[in-house]
Amino acid sequence: MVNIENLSFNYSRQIVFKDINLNLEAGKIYGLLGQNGVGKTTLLKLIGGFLKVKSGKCTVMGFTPFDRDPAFYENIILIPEDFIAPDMIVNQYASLRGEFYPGYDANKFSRLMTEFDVNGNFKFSKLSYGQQKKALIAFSLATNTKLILMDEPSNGLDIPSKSQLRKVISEASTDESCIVISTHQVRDLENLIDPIIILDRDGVLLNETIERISQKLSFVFRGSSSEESLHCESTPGGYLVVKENETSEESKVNIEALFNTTLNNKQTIKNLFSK
Amino acid sequence: MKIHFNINRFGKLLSKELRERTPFIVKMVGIMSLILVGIWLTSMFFVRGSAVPMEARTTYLYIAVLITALSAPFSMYKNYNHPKKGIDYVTLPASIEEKFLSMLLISTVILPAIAFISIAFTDTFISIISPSMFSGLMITEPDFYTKMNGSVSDLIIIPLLCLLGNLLFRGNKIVKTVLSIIATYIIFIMIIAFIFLYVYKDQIETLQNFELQIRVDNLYDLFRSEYFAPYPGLKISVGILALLYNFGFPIGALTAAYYRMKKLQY
Repeated sequence: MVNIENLSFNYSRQIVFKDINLNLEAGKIYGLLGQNGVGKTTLLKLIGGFLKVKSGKCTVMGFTPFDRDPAFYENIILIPEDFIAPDMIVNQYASLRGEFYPGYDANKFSRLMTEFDVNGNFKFSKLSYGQQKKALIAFSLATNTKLILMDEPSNGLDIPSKSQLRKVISEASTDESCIVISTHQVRDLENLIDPIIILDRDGVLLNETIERISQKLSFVFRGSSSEESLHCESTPGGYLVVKENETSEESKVNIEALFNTTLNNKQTIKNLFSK
Repeated sequence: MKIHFNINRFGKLLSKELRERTPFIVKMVGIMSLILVGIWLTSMFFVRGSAVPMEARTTYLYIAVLITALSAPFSMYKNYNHPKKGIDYVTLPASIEEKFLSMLLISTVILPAIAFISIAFTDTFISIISPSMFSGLMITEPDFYTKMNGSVSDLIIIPLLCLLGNLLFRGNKIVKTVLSIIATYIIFIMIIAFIFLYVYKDQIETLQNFELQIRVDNLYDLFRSEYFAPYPGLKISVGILALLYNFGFPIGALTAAYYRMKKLQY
């Protein structure tokens, strides 16, 4: 669905990406992780056609995003981190925009708004930031686009809304659609995102499914730290140890620990997953 | 294959844009019409009931329509190139051509036309209920059409330059646009001055007895006038300047605005 080959991008003199390669397939919910400033939002903007690739290739469903073809935007939607809402009634916003998306389902929008407990008869300006974001997520999912890009979707949401968000994203995922979620709040979306993409200033450090990660790495709780491990972090009652999986036994992947392990063992992780 | 223009989609887009902007349009046009009502009431109650001259009414209509056209892009499309707010509009599944045409139509044609009709209607209404204050109908005044016709270039060129400025600048849009327009006009006037005062100095001195008025908006009239007929070089130069002002400026502004819109990054 998304094919990135030798892509380079920079803001003036600040190089963000240099010759990165990435493939995103339909039927998956990708978690895009990375430290601040590594270019997660930039990557989403490149995929969404808001920025122009400096060199290399980025194609999405056969389209070059920056051409901004209407048929391309009929199949892609971006939920930005900071949504600055227009001064209008939510339901009017949805009905006016929904007309442009062939797959827009007004009933789905109403259902999602009800699930999120947001009243669509109010203007955006009368809603809290979290409610505005939920309204935007409801609209975006109701468009039924094939590619959904979400930049920090759980930011600003209260605890019940986060679990609702997990539920609606999970329901929105189909064999034909691809969802990319850029986030720092990995715990909010744990058990949902799979595969995991970890970005770094050096490019894509990891792009693997949870299944393959658990085949390659083991995440175990121990009473004491281990020097043989790739990563070890203290948790209440002991340590979470991440090490190479030398047995066929699979463990539950802790995404936060995976992220720290990858950042601290870039080459080891690359070698491990290239096998 | 990219479809640049689809009439159904454009219709949907135009309808959406107008519906979204109806509150602003009503407010803007309402204010402009109410100012005319204010002029009428002020004359009636505070200026000892003296009638409002036709000249003042037509001038007000012209200024009100011009202000409406100039402010339209900044008021209705100020967020288009905003790094965050602009994304919402860019992702809308319509082509750049459709979005550009819709922006152009609403800013420079539909809103000024609605303002024109509303003010003209208000003027007519006041003329009917208070003929002593608003004597005669503005829309039947021949002078009114002469004024509007003579100002068409201003009503087209300057709003298009504002449309471009709105897309070009991200911060302090109005100030930067006004300064850029002033700079453009100064440069253009300097070119005219150079041509008239240095290149064709002798011919212009000969023509001084005819009390010619040389302005940027009457270059085409000068080109057509018989005064320049004996001087083909001067006539061609004036013709080129008239062409540049009347066609080069608007076409240049339109082209630049379109490409700016197409290449905008967020």
